[in-house]
Amino acid sequence: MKKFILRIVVYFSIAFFFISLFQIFISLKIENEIITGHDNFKTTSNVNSELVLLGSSRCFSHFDPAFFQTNFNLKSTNIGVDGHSQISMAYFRLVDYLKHNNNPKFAILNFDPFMTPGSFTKNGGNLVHKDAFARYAFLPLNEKWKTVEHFDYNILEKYLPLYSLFKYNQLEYSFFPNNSNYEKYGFNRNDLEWKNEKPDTLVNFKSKYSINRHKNEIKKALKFLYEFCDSNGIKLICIQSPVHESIYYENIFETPQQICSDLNIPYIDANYKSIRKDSNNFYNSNHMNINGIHLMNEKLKKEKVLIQLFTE
Amino acid sequence: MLFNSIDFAIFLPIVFVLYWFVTSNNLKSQNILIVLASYLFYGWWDWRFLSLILFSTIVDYTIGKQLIKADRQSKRKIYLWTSILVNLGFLGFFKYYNFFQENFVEAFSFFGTKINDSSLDIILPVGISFYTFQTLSYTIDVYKRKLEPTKDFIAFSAFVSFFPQLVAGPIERATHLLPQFYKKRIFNYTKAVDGMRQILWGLFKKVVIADNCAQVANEIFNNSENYSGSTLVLGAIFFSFQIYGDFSGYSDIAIGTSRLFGFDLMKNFSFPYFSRNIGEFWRRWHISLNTWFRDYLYIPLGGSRGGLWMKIRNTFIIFIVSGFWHGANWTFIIWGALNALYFLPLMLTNKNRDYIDIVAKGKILPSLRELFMMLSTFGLTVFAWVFFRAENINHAYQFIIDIFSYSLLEVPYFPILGNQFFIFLLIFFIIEWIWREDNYPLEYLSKKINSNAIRYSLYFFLGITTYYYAVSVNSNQFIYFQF
Repeated sequence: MKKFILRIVVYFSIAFFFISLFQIFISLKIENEIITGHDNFKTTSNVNSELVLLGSSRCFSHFDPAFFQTNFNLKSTNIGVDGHSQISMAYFRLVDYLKHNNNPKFAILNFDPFMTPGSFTKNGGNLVHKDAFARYAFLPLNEKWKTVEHFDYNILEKYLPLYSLFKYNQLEYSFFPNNSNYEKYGFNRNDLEWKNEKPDTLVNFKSKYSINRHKNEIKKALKFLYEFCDSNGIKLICIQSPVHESIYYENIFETPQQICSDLNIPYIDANYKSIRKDSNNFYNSNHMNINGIHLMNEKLKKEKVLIQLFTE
Repeated sequence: MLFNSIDFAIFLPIVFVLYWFVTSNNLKSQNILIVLASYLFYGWWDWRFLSLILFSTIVDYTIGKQLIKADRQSKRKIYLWTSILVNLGFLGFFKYYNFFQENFVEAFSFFGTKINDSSLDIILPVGISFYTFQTLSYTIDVYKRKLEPTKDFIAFSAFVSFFPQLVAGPIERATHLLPQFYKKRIFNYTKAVDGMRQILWGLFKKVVIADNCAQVANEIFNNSENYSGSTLVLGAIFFSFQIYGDFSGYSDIAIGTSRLFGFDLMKNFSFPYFSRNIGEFWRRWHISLNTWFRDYLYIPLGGSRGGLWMKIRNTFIIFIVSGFWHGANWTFIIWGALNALYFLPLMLTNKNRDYIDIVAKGKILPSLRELFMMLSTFGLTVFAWVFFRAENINHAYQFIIDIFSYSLLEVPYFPILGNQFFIFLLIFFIIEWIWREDNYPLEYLSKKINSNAIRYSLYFFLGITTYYYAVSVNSNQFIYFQF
């Protein structure tokens, strides 16, 4: 009996040792790589930008840091999180960024009717791209990133070596990052043309606009983010980037401005009519392509609020 | 509780340690622990149906005792039929009620009489067909005076509910398993190590082979109208591997787990896809069920004795009942009947008992004739599996019509799977082939491979591959749980 148990224990210990070694090797290997097109905490560490860009995929794919560097002489980093339009996610990502960088002077939040408050205290909820962040789930090797905590990985995913990489099929991308269909940065995929056969209709989108229904909660969440930025010496600015005309509804798209006005947050409505009415500027209803971004940047360059803030 | 779950990975070592370290000095304690562990194992799925197992246990235990006391044959028959009616009554209600009800309604409506459709929303208790047959074997054997009725209720409860084989077999005979609960089990190192190997091989078959094949088979069967004939053939082949990996994998884990606790269960699969004719296939596939039907149905019906028509009748009865045992659907009945048609020519020409030994025994490769025979037998079984897997008769019919179309000549499309899976499939096939003469491929591995390094590398390879697929592929419940 003793011999049996000893052999089983030795076998499983050796197996555990080897898979732990493999996990450590992979964790170290991907530490400085962007895989599956999603954020990498290490590549945005020690960059010490003066401007960070926050928000969802509309931030991730609309704001090119190079534009702000060239035109406003501000070193910039885009930390928009694809698939996550909660203000809480923008906050988590900013907290993680601040752990490894000097505080920036400015933060731009892409603030639009798609935004939801999210939860600052309870993890879970929107779990889009939980798979992409699973490469950070093996916590013994990583710090406790707030962004990762949001995804609420279970005990096996956190402590069993290779478990999260296997479960979320990240092993292949760990070795072959180029196998992923994603671009490294959102604004690299904006050379796409409109791919919807039919433009989305406002009716389809209205249910996605929660801003009027949850105005107070969103205001509260934005206030929380604003105060956090303020306490860290960061000036928060909100910009609403364009959507296609087919899903634009004035009554809804004016609400972000009202909220920012109530909270005294500088706001720029970059949802310019001339851009949103032309399908050539978009690759889908709510994401611009390179044409649209180019036009938006041309106009942003001349925005008095922005010039004033950045040249103060 | 599934064998390929974290729950079971925690449950098994705890029960093992309690069994050998806490209760090892006392037979009764060992049996009580097995009953408690088995009820926990089953109740993990749905505790309400534990009452069915308990009721079945009490009924058969009591009837067994009464059978030995009864002196008159008529009284003994009443006891026997009480047991049969109670057990098959439960099985009939939970598994077949809706089937018969729906078919009666359809039959009457065919003749112009409308009957209210009163089908019930019944949950099929996992493993009911398995433990029902196991308890029935006890009563029938006691009735036939092949077995002394037990006076030990705990041992009998352990026999009925023994967790490794409770929900999907092997269906044990009381004459074989029950006496093992009367003797104190003593730990046997070789047996336990072999049990671990068999568990590893079973998990590999289930998790790596069956669950991956299931992805392809499910995609093709669920969307058969979208695929070419050649792809449908591929789907049927993948289902053949899926059901083999799934069910024989379960049996391997069950047998291996039993060995850890000092029990020997009967062999349930013996490399069936290496069979040279259908007769051999049925001696190698789901052995515990087929021998059960042979002993408790086929032989009482007269077996192969009697005239030609009697033989034909009995062959059809046993195959159709076996098909119907699998599920309340006409597809299973057709599957059974089709296998009877395959089997009949062999029986009528007295070739059904040919090929007792494994193919190409002592050789590395089979002869061309053997290879052709294996492939043609495999082809027949693949064709029959279409009925087994199809949702209903119309689906099976359409699936077969679509196979035999011009698109059969097209290059098949392989949905979903990555290339690496085919390497594992090839490794699986090679291992099964080269060690086909043993009970299962890894048996006595230390005698086959002297080098510890190679042996442990093989274990590690199987283990890590199983771990990878267990985590990354959505596991399907064992197919036979639904039966």
